[in-house]
Amino acid sequence: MASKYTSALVAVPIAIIFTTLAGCASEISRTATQFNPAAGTDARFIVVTKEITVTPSAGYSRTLKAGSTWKYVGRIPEGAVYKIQDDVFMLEGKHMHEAYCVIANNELVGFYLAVENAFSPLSPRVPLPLNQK
Amino acid sequence: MRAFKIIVAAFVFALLTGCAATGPLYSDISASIPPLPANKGRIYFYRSDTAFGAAVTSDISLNGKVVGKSERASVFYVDQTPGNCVVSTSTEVEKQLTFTLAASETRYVHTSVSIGVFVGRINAKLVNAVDAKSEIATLHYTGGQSQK
Repeated sequence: MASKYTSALVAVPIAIIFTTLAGCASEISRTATQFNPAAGTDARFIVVTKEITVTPSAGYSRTLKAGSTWKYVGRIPEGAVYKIQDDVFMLEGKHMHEAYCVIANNELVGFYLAVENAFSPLSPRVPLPLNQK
Repeated sequence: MRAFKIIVAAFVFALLTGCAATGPLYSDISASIPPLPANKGRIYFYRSDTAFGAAVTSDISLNGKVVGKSERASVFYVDQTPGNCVVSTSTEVEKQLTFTLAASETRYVHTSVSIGVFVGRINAKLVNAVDAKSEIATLHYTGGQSQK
């Protein structure tokens, strides 16, 4: 009986630690970039017409909801930067980061992390079904 | 072995239960909350009234300064100078949330407990205004330590 409990005493913590560590994500992969904000008069919007789920490197999958509206807020060398409207969008790795979509040639090429002023690439790029608004 | 069972049961009980925050319901005092100054943004921090991990609490830091506490069924807000925001919570590990805040903008940060190795982890995430407002009304207003 005692050995049964002893085994449990060892096995349970190991299982918990394994499960917890296995669930740990690493930092979102990103590189520094240069953001140029849009002019105040530039009010371009896009609407995602079909739900898209993507998985950034070293992070959890994210979904761009069908019908979500995104406003053009500027540009980085990697593409045009759009921020979600009336909702929130985040990347999650070790930490959570508010993120904006980066689009080039109607493809989602990655995400812009405003606080970190960094670009998180998406590989492969994802064609984005969208309408201009 | 009896002692072992009791210790395990006590540990599980302590992890799963805890006291809810005290203070008036937010719905009762919301009308008295001052309007947001034009040159500031406002950040609401709240945690749902859920039993899991209720005993796990953490200070909430905003840009390195403690502004309040994550505890069960609580809500508070701080008015903050616009710019970059880094929210941190710390139990056995530090978790961060980064976002931007504009003047006259209100953001909502939800904290919750997830399983950790020893005491659980407190995670923070942004929530949209519609979802946040519906939940905040039923929580207890604990007041925050506003950024000066």
